[in-house]
Order: sequence, then C-alpha cells, then structure tokens
Amino acid sequence: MKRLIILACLLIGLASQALGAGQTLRRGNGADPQTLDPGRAQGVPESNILRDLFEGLVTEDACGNLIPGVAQSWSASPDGLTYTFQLRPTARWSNGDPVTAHDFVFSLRRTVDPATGSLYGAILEPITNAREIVAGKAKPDTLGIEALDAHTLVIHLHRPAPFLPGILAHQAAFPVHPSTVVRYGLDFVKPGRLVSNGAYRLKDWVMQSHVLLERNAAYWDDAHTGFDAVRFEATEDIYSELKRFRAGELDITDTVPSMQIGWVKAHLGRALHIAPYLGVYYYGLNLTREPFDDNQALRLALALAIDRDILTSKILHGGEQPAYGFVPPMPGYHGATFPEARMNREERWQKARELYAQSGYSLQRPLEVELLYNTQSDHKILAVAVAQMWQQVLGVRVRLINQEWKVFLQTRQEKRDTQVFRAGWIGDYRDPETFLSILTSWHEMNDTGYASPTYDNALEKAMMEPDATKRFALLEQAERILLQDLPVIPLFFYSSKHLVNPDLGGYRDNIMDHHLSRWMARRKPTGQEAPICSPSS
Amino acid sequence: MLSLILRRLLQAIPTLFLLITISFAMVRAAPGGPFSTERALPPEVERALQARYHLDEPLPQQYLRYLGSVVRGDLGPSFRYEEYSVNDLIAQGIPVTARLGLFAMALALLVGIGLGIAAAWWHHSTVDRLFMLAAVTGISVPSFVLAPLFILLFAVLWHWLPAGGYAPGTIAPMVLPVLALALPQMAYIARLTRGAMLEVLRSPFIRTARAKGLGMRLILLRHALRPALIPVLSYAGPALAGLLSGSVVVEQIFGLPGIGRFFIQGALNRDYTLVMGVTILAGVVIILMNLLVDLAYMALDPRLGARG
Amino acid sequence: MNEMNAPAASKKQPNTNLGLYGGAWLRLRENRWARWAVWVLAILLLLLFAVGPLLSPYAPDHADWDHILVRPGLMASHYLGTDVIGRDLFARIMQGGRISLMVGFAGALVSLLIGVCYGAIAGFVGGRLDMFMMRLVDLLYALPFMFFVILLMVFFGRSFLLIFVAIGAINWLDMARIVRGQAMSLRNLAFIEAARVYGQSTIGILVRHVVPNLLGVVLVYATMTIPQVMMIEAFLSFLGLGVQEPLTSWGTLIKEGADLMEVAPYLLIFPGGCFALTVLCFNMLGDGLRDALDPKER
Repeated sequence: MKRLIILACLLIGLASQALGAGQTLRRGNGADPQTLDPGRAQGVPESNILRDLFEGLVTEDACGNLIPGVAQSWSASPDGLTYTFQLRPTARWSNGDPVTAHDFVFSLRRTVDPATGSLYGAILEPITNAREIVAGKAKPDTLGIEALDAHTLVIHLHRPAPFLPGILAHQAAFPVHPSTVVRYGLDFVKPGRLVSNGAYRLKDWVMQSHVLLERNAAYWDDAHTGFDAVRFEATEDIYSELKRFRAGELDITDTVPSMQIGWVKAHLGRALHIAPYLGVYYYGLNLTREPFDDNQALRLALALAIDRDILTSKILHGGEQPAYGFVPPMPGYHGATFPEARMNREERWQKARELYAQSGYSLQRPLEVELLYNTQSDHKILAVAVAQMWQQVLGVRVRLINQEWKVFLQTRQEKRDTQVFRAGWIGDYRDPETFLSILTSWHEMNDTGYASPTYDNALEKAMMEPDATKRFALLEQAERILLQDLPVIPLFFYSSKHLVNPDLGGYRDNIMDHHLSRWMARRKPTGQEAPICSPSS
Repeated sequence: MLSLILRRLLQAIPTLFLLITISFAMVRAAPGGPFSTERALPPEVERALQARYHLDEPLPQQYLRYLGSVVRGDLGPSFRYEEYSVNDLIAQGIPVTARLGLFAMALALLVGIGLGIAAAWWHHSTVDRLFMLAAVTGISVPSFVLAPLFILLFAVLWHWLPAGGYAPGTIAPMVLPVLALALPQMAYIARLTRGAMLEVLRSPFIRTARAKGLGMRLILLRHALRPALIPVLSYAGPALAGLLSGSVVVEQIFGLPGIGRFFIQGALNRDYTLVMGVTILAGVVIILMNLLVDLAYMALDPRLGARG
Repeated sequence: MNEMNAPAASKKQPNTNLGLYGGAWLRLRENRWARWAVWVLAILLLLLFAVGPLLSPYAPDHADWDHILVRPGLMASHYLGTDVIGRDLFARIMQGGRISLMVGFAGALVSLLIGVCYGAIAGFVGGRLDMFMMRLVDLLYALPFMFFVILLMVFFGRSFLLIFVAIGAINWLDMARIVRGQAMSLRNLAFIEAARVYGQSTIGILVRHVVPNLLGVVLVYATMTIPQVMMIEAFLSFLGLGVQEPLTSWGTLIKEGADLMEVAPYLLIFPGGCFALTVLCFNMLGDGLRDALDPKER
C-alpha cells in the first residue's frame, strides 16, 4: 500500500515537471495584483506585469535605462517647459489598431481625472494643470497635453522637470485603448477584453494564483521577444516562494527572505542576484507631540544610537547599505549625510549619550517611547533590534506596537498616537526629488508633521531650476536642511534580492529593479553575456 | 425526512441574519479603510471612490442595501479586485477549497476508520498501541508544521511533487496540501473509531452474535461498523466545515487560490464585501453540514428518525 | 481543522456512588501512559515557572549581537542556540511556554465557566428557559467562529486578553451541551428529589449536588480543552496574529522556526517538540481520566 502511494507520487511528480518547462517564463511576483488598469494600479506587483503588457512613450532597456518606446524620438524646448514627441508609426495595439497620439491624450487625461479613482495622478504633477485637475479644480481636458497629428504629441509643463521621460515610463502614463475603455468601463481590463500595446497581452488571470501573458504578435518589436508566454505567480509567502524556486517551479523570484540570505549564498550562490535598489527604509518621528517636538538633540541621539552596520550586515545581510542620508545614491547626485556619520561606533554612542543627557533624560529618568511597525517579519526583527540598541546604549524604554498594514497606515496618518513609526519609500523615477518631496509640508506621504518653511522653500527653488547641475546642487542643499532637522531617522537603503535561474539570459540587475520580460530568453549553452549594467545618465 | 430538511432551512434564516449582522458590524467597526494607502488619497479621488461603493451613505442605509443584495444572491463588488464581484471570486475559489477539503476528508475517513477498526480488532496488542501512539502524535502536530516539512521533503529534496501553485485540472499540486490537511483529521478519526468500535464490541448484541459463532470479520463489518460510525459521523460534519478555516493556512503555504486565502487577503485589505461574503459562505456550509449529518444519522440508525 | 472541534466526551451515566473518585484515582494510577503524561507535565510546569529562569543567564528579549544564529551547544551558555538577532532560544522557549500554557489554561477556564454555568442552568431549570437557551446554542453553533476570531485579531490588534477571551468564547458551546445533558439526567434522580423535599433552594441544590456530580465530565473536558486552545493559539500565531513582540509563544516560535527550517532546524525542532509533547501529554492525560472515570471503556 505504502509503496503504491510513493509510486503514484513519483509518477504524478514526473508528469508535472514535464508540464512546467518550455517557452514560458515563470516569475514570482509577490502579492496578487489589485487591478491591471495602468491608470489605477499602484503597487510594485502590478507595475511588473503592466510593464510587460503596455509600453509608454518612453520605456526601459534591460538595465532600467530609459530608451524610446512608442515615441521614437523627442525634444525639449530651451526653457524645458515644452516636450514634443514623435510617435513610432509601426506601434500597434494587440488588436491591430495603430497607437496614436490621441490615445495618449485620452489616457493621461483619464489618469488625472478624479472620477477614475487613480492613486497615481499626482505623479504627472509637472504637466500643466495636472495638480488642479486631481484636486477637482479644473476639467480633465485642460491638461497640458495635445496631439498635433496622429504621430506628434506635445506636453506642456508648468515648471521644468528634466525627469519627465522617467515619469512617462511609469504605468500612470501608459496608454489605454480608448474605444475598449469607453465600451466596457472599468471592466476593460478583464481577460478577453484587455487590449494592450506592449510585448505581451493578457491571456488569463486566476486570482490569488497567477496572471498569464502571451506574446503580442502585433507588437512593433515582436521579432525580439524571447518568451512566448510569461506566468506571474502570486507568491505572498516568501518562504514558500524560495522552496518553489528550489523545486524548479520559478525562473525568477520576487525576493529572497533576508534571514536566509546567508544560506542561499552558500547553496544557491549562482542564482542569487543582489543589487542596490532605489529606496530608503527609515523611522519617522512624530513632530506634532512630545517627546520629539522641539527636541532636535533627542532625535539626533536616537539616530546616533542605532548601529546601522549591525542592521545591514548581521540581520539583513542582503546588500542593504547603511543610510546616513535620505536620498539613495544615484548617478550625478552626491547626497548629504549627517556629520556624525564619519565617526566610529564608540564615538557615535558617546555623542548619543551626551545628547540624550542634554535633552533631559538619564538612566534614572529614561525616555519611554512607542515604536510602531506593520506586521511583517523583517520589520519585526528590525524593530526589536533597534529597540534593543536604544535600550543598550541609552537606556531608553521602548514599547513595540505591531499593527496590520491598513490599521498602521491610519494610525500613522492621524499623527495622534504615533511617536516613532516605520516607513519606507521607493523612488518612482530616478531623481532625488521623488524622495525629498515626501517630507515637504504639503505632501500626502508626510506623516511626521514636519513643516519647515526653510526646507519647503529650498526644495521649491530646486524644483524651478532649469539647469540640471545647479538643480542637483540645490536638491543637495535641501537634503542637508532635512538632515539637520531630522524629522526622520534613515536606517538603510534598500537592495533588490532575487533568485534567477542561471539558464535565463537577458536578466540584468538594475537600481530600478525593473525587468521587462521582453529582454529575456532561455540561454543557449554557448551564450555569454556581460553580467553588470553600466549606469547611463 | 422532507419535513426535517424544510424545518432546518427555516431555522437557518435567523442564523444567517445574525451572521450577516455580526460580520457587517465587525467589518465596519474595524480601523483602517479599504482605500487607506501609504500616500494619502487626494480628497477628490477619495470622494469618487466612496461614491462608487456607496460608502458615502449613512451606515444603516448601507446595511439595508447590503442585506437586500444578499437576499437577491448578490454579495456585492469586491474592493480589492476592483473589476470583480465577490460572487466571481467565490465562484473561482470554491472548486479549489472544495476539492481540497473533500479529498482531505475522504482520505482521513478512509484511512482513519480503517486504522481505528484494525486497532480495535487487535485490541491491547502492539499494533493497537502503535497505532494509537501514532494517532495521538498526529493530533498533536498541527498542519502548519506538517506542510512546510512536506514541501521540504517531497518537493525540494526529492522533487516528487510541486511545492505549490495551482494548475486547474491537474492533481499533482493538490497532493501535499491534501495530505497536510488530512493527517491530523485522520489521527482523530482513528481514535474515535477505535473507541466507538470497542464500545460496540462489548455490547450484548455483539456478544450474542459471537456466541452464535459468527465469524469475526462478519461481526465487524455487518453488525459493529454501523453503530460505531455514528460518533465518527457527528464529528465529520462539523470537521468538514472546520476544514474551511484549516485550509486558510494550507492555502497560504501552498499558494492555492481558495476561499481561505481570499478571506485572509480580504481581511488584510479591508475588502469589506469579500470578508462578509466568505463569512456568510462559511456559515452556509456549516448549516448544510449539520443537516447532512442529521440525514446520515437517520440512514445509519433508523430509531433516531422518530426523534428528528 | 481538528482544533476547532471539541471531542464529544463519552456519554457517561451519572454515578451517584460517592466512592467514584477514589476508584477513578486508582484506575488512573494504573494507566501507564497517563502516569507518564502527569510526570512530564509536572516537570514541564516546574521548569517553565520555577527552575527554568534560573538556568538561563539571558533575558528572553536580550539580543546578543555577537552570537547570531548560534547552534545549540554550550557555547556562550546558549544551550539551545540563538535566533536571527541573537536571542537565547532556551529563554524564549521558557517564556513562550509560559504564555502558551497560560493561554491554554485561561482559555479552557473561560470556556469552562461559561459552559458549566450555562449548561447547568439550562439543564437544571429545564422547561421553556432550557428550550430557549439551547436554541441559542444551536444558532451559535452555525456561526463560523474561527473566521470571527481571525477578523477580531486582524482588526483590533493582538492583545493577550483578547486571544483567550476569543478562544474561550468559541469552546464553551460543547461544554454547555454536555453539562446540560448531565444536569438534565441528574435533575430527576432520587437524591435531588429528596433535597428538594427537604426544602433546599435551587441554588443550594445546584452547588451542593449537581456541580460535584458534574466534576468528572468537566475535568475530562477541561483536560482535553487545554491542548485545543493551545492549538488555536498556535494557529493564530502562525497567521501572524499571536502575541506581541517582545513576548512570544510556542506558536510564534514554531512559525519563526518553520520559516527558517533549512537554515536553523533547531529553531523549529525545539519549540515544535515542546509544543507537541505538551499537547500529547494533555491528550493522554485526558484519555486516561476518561477511562478512569468511565470503567466501561476499559
């Protein structure tokens, strides 16, 4: 009996393995997508799929560098306020219709229209009137975008934004097929209806399981598409994902559990890809209440008492970089750091203790503080670790509060109960502004209550500066002000961690962590490729 | 029999009403809303979303609206999967969870009853002791410890079975989840069967049968099995409904797109309608299972029929 | 999931013989498995609540940065090794065990209190009240409580108190039914009638006669409920809904261990082993008690 069962298992197992192979790329994709509507999507899992389904005016190569997409070329006016795009005449929707400038006008207006319910309309802010439309103060058709003819598109900005091409590669600026959207309303994204213009089109979506894409034969560059199909698996449980990769069921994983990096390095070293990722992990401090309002010394003391090297090398050990500034390293921008960053551990702790005493606390009268984080194993471990450091170095008594994501967000946004809270930010495009702007007094992400006119002005000045070099210098000044005031304690800059099947060609590590499936193919045994991306401007 | 069914269905109405009311109250009292995002929504956008889901109406009106649509069999639109209705999601999840639960229960019943009979047959022997030790151990090891162990052994080390995922129409991805779900149940059923069997074997009518010189096998299968199955049955009904919540963990670990996973995701994402829909579904399943158990009782023991 | 379904305690005839418990005690002592279970549980309780904390030099939440993921051994006196931030596993198992057992006992107690009161009143008073109370139980039976508990935990946080109140609230239904059945059959027995004739009040009869006679069933049931409650707690912990850091429980430790079972198998084996052993002992003790109180079973 028992032997029979084992035999049966064996047979089923063999059969299932034969099914998995072939010309399908199998990608672990974290959470199940919420929607495949480019105008309304917000999370990373959605955008991974959308980059395969759709193509914006600008797109990305395997290294995450911006390259012409539907627009084959573009030019900016000398004042940096008008961009003109020449669209590719060969660009086609998956149903054969040509992709026109009018489609983009329709789609971008749709994204900023509050009635669409888009969460990312704000990203188009540099475009004339975008902010007003999102706020309901102007009509969507006043958006600064116009089609001169079917293949010429003009975008007007209300301020210089040299990073505009980066925004246009974001899903919020992807085109949608106007007549399908008009016909089906929100339902246009369902399998069988969705018309897309990227290298792939939607075949099937089994919720909580997978999204299946197949080759879009109408795509203008279809000849270079490697895989016939791409299967995005919902892999919420990162530990199961790792096991599935080891069982040969996935070609790319969404991430690697940081607690297992050491083991993975030893056993699956060839498949492990770790690269810097455009994001910062930090603790926000609530400046609207005690103990952190009006107490810069205390904030700095807490920031200095954290040993970031332990966090990154002993706990996470997945290539994260200790953060002493707020903006992750990126080409051309030399971020600021707080001055004590150059001290060694002992000096830093000494300074921290001095500042702590100076702000009126001591072992007899310790600071009691609540640290809020959202339920997730890495956040938990980091919170426990930081709490231990504060306790061991300064004698701070920390109470850990763990809340589930949606509750956590509400608590954080209310700014009433929080004292210290976990936060993180991933850049939408490669520019310091996407990070620095979230701590301005007007930004929706600013849950610290930090409202400094000096900082706001410094950033505003940088935002109006047309010259790229001068602009970066101004942004750097703003970051320095931020680190002086310290409304947040940066902990580390993220890294992206993936396991990639060594037989997969065309996969490149990059800081955006964007990996379009169209660049990948099963590697021919002889194929040799350059392993690293060189950062271009 | 028909009257029993009818009466039960009538009794189910207040239960379901209570169920809907409790879950509505609970879901609405919860902090955090379905549209809470890290980047606070522009007020205009939030207003548009609220209006789309009628969240701008006063609560009592929303409650009545929901009650009305449930009566019509419509569980409302999902908040998380913006283009889909809760009916769509449940229709997609039911086959997965049902297959998982039914296979697991069938396996548990088949093997569990078999082991229980064997243990009772060889009462006080080494076989009995061994089986029962295994059974108590089986009860003590929860499925969330078994599942990762199975994945490690059968999928990662030996490559016999997939570690997770779902492919409609294939059996392979279901084997490990079914096993993980079935084993603790199997252990419990084996114990239950053994106990009931021993009790029956000691009863006078079996002793009479034995005195008549009937063979042991005949006694076991013809006379003892039926009464011995009654406690197993009364356990199996609610247990099957209980598998629904058990599959929450198993579906999570194996990445199966079933009801349990929708429930957890719904709760985490404040998908009000999805959470309420799954809860109502779970209530309906329990009611149906209880009815089924009663019917099976009648079939197994006609005397119970009169009492109804 | 079996932890949701209470075992149907065997239908025991009410025994009016006062020597019942004496005989049962003897029979229990003869049961080898039950004897072992009692010993193991006694040692465990002693270890967890009295001796254990003295054996380990570490606080359960102390992070030892220089000894992260140390394997079990005598190194730096981390006998059972350390976790991902260098916390001593032995100290954590001690703390987790205390919490798991406390949740188990408290949950069982809550369900017992509600169930016994409810069932005794319904069964003893009888009549229309009984009918109403039992209809309510039937109604509640059809509610998917596990789903409610999960919702409660997700929405309102993981407070210690909430966990066992919620768990206790699930489990009392079975207890109520069993106790009610017992109370009903006791109600009509001669000695109760006699007490009534002598003019004892209803409360007095309940306290003096009914409750002691229910004790056996209740004891068996309580022993069986403790491991069930521990299971539910572990189940919730596995979904990430258990107790708050820096506190821990066996369920939470198992979850952490299961995630890292390839890297540090001892993180799963020790807490998992302790948990399984404890549940096993309670189950065996429960079996033994049932057999002892119900000689027919043997």
